[in-house]
Amino acid sequence: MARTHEITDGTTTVDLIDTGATGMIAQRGGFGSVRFSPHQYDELGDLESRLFSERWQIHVKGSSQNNLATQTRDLYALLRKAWRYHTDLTQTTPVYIKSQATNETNTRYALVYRAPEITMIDKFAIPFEASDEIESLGIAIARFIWQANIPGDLPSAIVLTASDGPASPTKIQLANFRDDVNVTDFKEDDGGVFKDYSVGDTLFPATVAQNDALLVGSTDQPLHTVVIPALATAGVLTTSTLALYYWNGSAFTALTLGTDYSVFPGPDLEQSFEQNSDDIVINVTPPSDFAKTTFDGSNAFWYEIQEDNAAPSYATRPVLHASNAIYAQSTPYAEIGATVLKGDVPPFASFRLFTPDGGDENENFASLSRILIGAKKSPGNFTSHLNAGGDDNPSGWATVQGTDATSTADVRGPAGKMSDVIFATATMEKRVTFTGTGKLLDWIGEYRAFLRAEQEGGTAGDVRVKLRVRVHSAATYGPAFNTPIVPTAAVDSGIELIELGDIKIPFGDVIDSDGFTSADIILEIHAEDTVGSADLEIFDLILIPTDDWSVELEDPVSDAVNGSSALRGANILEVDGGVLENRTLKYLINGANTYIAERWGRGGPAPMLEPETQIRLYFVMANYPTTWGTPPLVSIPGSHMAMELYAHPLYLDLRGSD
Amino acid sequence: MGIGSLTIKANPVTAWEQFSLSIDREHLIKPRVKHRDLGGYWSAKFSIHTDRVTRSFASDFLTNGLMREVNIFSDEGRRDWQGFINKVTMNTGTAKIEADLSNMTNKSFVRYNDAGTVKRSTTITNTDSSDRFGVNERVLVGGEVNLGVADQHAQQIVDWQGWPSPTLREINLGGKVLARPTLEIECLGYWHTLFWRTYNQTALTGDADLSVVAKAAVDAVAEFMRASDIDDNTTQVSQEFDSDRTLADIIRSLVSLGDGAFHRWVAGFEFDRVFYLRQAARPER
Repeated sequence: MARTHEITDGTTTVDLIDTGATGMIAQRGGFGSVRFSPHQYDELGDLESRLFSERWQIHVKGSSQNNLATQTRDLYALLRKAWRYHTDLTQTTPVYIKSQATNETNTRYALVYRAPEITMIDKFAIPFEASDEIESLGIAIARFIWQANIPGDLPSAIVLTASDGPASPTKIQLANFRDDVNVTDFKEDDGGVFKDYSVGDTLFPATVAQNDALLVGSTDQPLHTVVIPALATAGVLTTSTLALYYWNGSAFTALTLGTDYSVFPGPDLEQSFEQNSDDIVINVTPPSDFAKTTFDGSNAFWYEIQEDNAAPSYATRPVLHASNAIYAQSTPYAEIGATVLKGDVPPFASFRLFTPDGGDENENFASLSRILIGAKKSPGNFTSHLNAGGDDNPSGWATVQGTDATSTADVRGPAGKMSDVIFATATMEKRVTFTGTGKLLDWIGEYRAFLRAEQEGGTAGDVRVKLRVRVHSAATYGPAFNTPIVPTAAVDSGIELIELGDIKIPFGDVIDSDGFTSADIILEIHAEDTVGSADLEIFDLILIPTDDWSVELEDPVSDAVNGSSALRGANILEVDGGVLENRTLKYLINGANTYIAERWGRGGPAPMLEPETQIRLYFVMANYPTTWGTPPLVSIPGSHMAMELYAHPLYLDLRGSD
Repeated sequence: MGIGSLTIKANPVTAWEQFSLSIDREHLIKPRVKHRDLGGYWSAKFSIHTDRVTRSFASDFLTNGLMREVNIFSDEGRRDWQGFINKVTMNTGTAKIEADLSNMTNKSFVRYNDAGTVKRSTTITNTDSSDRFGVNERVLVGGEVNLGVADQHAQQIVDWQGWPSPTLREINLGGKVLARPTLEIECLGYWHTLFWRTYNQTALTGDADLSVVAKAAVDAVAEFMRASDIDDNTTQVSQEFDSDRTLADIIRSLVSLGDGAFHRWVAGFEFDRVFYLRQAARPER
């Protein structure tokens, strides 16, 4: 592409290096020098600290003085428009500079903030009067940083690292827990005749009848989030009523959409099977009587997607993806590969979080009201979620049940377990200990620590908890850090998300030459109930990284009666640091259209994701259990989101071929 | 640790409106917060960048901004401060207009002396104001008057100070009208709402545990408290209060007693409007 330096709003363009007989062209050296600091965009400061100031000297050649007026008028209009974009809600079109040096491969764009001063020559002097030229038009410009994309344009979604599903996803599923449970069986039940499904198979019998079903099961533990990769062929279920069932020990029993399960993209199971642009995700918070049973020789925890219509008719049966198999999503993070994000500084990044359907005006796990995100660079083997029941923790982690604590089966929990603490000893004691042998190196950092637990019985606050972190030595006299003692805030209200406090590992400042080889880390959950007779069911310990980037997204609860601002079906939460606009918005989805619904609160800075670095983003999802806007929040393993990531790489100066 | 962003939303207790706004760091001017051991989240102050402040935006804050809840997050996304908007100042360049909760009184009664007997007047309340901002009461001393005069005095105070209307505070005739007004917001932590309420209790007499007495007091009148986290303190204190002391004053007196092991105690508010009363952390060496 030819050398370029122009200012435009996408419709009107003023070329600033026009070599024609009329037009604007910078004087020699007319674009001046630019001063900036390489860490300018790393410091969180006010708006002025994000700006780059330039001073241009432009030579304007006209065919007449009237032509000069027209040329400068176009320029002034763009500069006015640029200022109004930031100050006038009715001016929504960005004005930007488009630039490319003579031998620079790629184009750069910079949003114009304002032009604080124009210096115009004496119009009764030569050469203006004699030869229709403005010899030196001085323009002071304040702009934002160079970016790879046109400001306000949504680029393609970034290709992320595979999670539990297929490779190279642009939309990744996010679980609200971590375990190793996967789908072991996917069958067709054609009136009691079973068939195993493989990739590329057609779902449902050729002559579908009432009670025909798809069976999804795990011989390990209950599934929470089942993903059927985007269908090769969408179904046309002309007459159909699909319902989800679970085995309660004696029979398949119906689950209720919104209360027991949610479905993505929704709004219900039938319509989810009648599209093939998205994965089908079924998220379940299993009832307590969920039990294993044997079908077709497989003893598993079974879900059944059953055709309940008395006279079903399918014009087209859904066809599974040709190569991507059904799987369980049980990873609560998304990963950005080391070469994915470009630029000199953290790019403008935008997350789009898609939520499943099923939620309504009632408070439940299908209507999210709080999302926590923490980023960790080069995470190594770091794991944000450690299961208190002891099952499915990563290799190298040992879980010990402490005083009055027993690993107990609970279908709600990750890996189907939790730690049940009965408080025979009421005082503050060590209840669950996680020991990571040689894990300290990957756990270096700062975190917000959370416990997911439910107090059973007693009064809210009877049970109090804290986290004790130890470095390498479990001796009572070894180095340790304690979080404050925190009371529970609810009783028998679901899995409460209890914030324990901030921790820093290790307990001092770290430099590159410090060694942590073979150093252990020990995390102890302590609890007491010196007041009442409650039990505590501990599900997991969650550490959300905060030192690279972290944010808390909050439902504004603009409607405390119906919870209209919560995230539920056909919703997107966009956390945008400047790709379109620095804002956090909930959208409604209507087919191919999205409509801004309302603002959400963003507690923390705009996304700051280091370029050319492997990054994992860890998530926790929470909802109000009984009353909109009234804490405490609960965090249910069955909650789910899908995520897309967009970015505009940023450059302090040249972009080159990046 | 710097400030990353803040959110302003409708007060969850008074909940009279629907409002939500997030402001990121680059649109905040000189944000600062103050914490205290006794009080917790104490105060916060910031101005909003003029890019965001149209005249209608500023007018809305002057008229409706008081008592909105402010949550401040660090640059690491951690919760750093929570409270409410106590004062809004709009500067147009030639004038400063202010809305301030500091002098509001929407509930009042008078203690007066009627022929040697101390009595109470009728309690006068501006319910519109208390619904919108919470109860902010003041007990007046009436001297030697009768009931009618005492009632009149209470009514007068509530009439004059019951509603914090925007007030012109300064005129700068030599100033230049700003293209866009500036908006300065001053916030206080919920601890300060404990100064708004008096606590009188005479039904229970004698002494009780300090923690029990404190819990009874905050449960009775701490309107903006959502939950409490009160550690046991068995120091024996009188549970009878009949001198129109504010709740904050009573709590300060209680914590000043410490505990039986001579530890210092503190009280205040932390996130999600949780009132705490506990032993102070040991100072770091």
